[in-house]
Amino acid sequence: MLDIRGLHAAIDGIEILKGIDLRVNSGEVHAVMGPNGSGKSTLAQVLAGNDAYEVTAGEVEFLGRNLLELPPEERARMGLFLAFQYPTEIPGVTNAYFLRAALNEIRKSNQLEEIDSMDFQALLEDKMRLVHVDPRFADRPVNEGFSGGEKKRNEILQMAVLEPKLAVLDETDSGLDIDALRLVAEGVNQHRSPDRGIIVVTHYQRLLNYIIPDFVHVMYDGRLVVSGGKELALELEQRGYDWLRAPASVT
Amino acid sequence: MAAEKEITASGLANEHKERFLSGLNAIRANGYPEWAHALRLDERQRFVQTAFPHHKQEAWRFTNIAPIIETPFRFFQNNTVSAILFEEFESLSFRHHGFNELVFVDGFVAPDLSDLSDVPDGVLAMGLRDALMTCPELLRPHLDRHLMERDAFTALNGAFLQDGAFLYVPPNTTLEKPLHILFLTTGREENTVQYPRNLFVLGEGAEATIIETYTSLRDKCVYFNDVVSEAVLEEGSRLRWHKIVQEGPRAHQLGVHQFAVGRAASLETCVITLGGKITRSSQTVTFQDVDASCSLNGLYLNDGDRLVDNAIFIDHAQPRCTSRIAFRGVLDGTSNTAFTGRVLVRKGAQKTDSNQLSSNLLISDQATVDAKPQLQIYADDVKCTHGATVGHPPDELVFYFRTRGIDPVTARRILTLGFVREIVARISVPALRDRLDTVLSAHYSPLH
Repeated sequence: MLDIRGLHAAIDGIEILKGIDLRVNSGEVHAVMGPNGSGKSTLAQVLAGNDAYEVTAGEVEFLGRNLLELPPEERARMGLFLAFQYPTEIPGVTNAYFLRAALNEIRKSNQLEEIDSMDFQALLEDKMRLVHVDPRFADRPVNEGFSGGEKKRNEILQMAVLEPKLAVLDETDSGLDIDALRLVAEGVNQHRSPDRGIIVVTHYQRLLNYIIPDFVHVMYDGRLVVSGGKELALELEQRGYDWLRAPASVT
Repeated sequence: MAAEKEITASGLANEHKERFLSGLNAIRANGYPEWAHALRLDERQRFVQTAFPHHKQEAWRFTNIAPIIETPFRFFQNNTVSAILFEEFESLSFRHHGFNELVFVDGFVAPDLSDLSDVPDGVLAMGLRDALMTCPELLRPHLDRHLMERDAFTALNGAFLQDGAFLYVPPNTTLEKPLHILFLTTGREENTVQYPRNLFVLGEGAEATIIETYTSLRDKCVYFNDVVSEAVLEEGSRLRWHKIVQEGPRAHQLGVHQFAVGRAASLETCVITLGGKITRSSQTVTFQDVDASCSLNGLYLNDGDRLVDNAIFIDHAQPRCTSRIAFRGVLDGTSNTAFTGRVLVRKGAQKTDSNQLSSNLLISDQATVDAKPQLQIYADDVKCTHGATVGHPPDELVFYFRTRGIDPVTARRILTLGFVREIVARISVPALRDRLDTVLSAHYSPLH
């Protein structure tokens, strides 16, 4: 469903992604690991369409369409979802309102009927139960006063409501304690399905104990230097990232 | 050359002044006490001697009221007031929510359209005219005694002194149900001017909630509301005051509202400006004693080529008082906005705690805003903070919406709705809060 070929991207004139090749098929969970500054979050942001980053070369095909020529809202409507590393607060706009507005935009663009507030309330309550989010959060402004962990869980709630075909989770585990991690992982696992893909961007291997990936890729200095199965994550856990700096890197 | 120009300018001004005063002689104010007559004469004199506000004065620098001065406004006589039906303003009424309601039509009280059935014993709610004739001794100590901001327009209001709202709440009495004062302009005549004069007196320990709505029944009409209010809060009393400015798109309002706040008294105000071509709301809070507090909230939606001016002056004349100012505006079209938050902390006003924030959301690049916090601090053991922001919804926020499938235009509308809702959320009268929320949602929300 996603085919990234030779992707280069820069910000403020500095090249961050230096030729990414990645293929994600339906039903697959890919982990992208790597040290800080490797470009993991940049990849996530570029896929979502953050125009602070300039794509300087390469192609990205998503569900048969050229992703790079679509504005962010169209990518989302097609089924791409980004769980932010640092979710922002939206004062004055409740979670319920925000999600209903988003869901309706996505439904409209897929020729589906908009959902009314009663039906949505039922749907939201359902999803909140599923991802273990306090139902009182529905009427609170998005992310306002939320702890880091609560914000991350809220991103997963949004994912559960919007049911994207491809979810990109940008360091969803950072700042979480083990319990919060488990809850987030549970939410993500609920979302797994043969017709959906997931890219988990993470620095630590921990999360991958709970969200078992099909493929693990390691990013270093803007390139995916190593790929393997889930065992690769354990290997990184033991060896760290330093060995990647060795001149003879495996592709 | 310059001298010649000046003479011409003041000559013109006098011409305008005469025109404004021309309705005065026809007024019959029989039954008014002598002191009220004397007041009117004094104010008439003051009007003649005071120049109209002009842009060289700091407070009027960004508020061009030439269109008001130059329009041949005529005073609307009580005996020419049109009879209207309840159905014509039912959607504006709060009667169904159990509020007490005093209705004014073209500046004069309409008892048949009002509903004061739930007013507790001892509480007096009536038109000012009726009050001057039936209980003048309650008004005499206060009427025109507290007004600090005086200009040609407040003088004009005093010169005409006809009607307005009068509320008296005796000591230790609570007006449980809010009092809604609805000022309706019918618009059956063009170029009319009204001079509502309001007086609210809360005795020691009294509590009341007031909502003033100003609006018209005919969108196209040109009229002018020159409003002056005085509110007296005696020791330990509590007033929640709201003003909803929903004047027609070609109408103007200049409102001056004075609050005299006594010892340990508490004042909350909220001014919501949704309409009017040129509107100015000026609030002055004078702390007459210690341990009192005030919280002034406001919201204005400005668009087209409208002008909205909100001026606030808090006089911390006494120690240990608290003031909070929070105003937000949404600025669109080629509108002009002025906001002044002047806080004076006098020498000796120790332990003053004052904070103000003015936030403006710019929707259009052609809209202008002049937001000015003005702090004059002469005491040293005080806490005074202020802030003013002007901007567009941040790109990173809009991007968050886009990654969830919401296009940028809709995103900004939702963000604007969130921005304005936060002020409305502070209103402690649920029916008013809900009604405003509905109006704002209809304006901005893509959801139904």
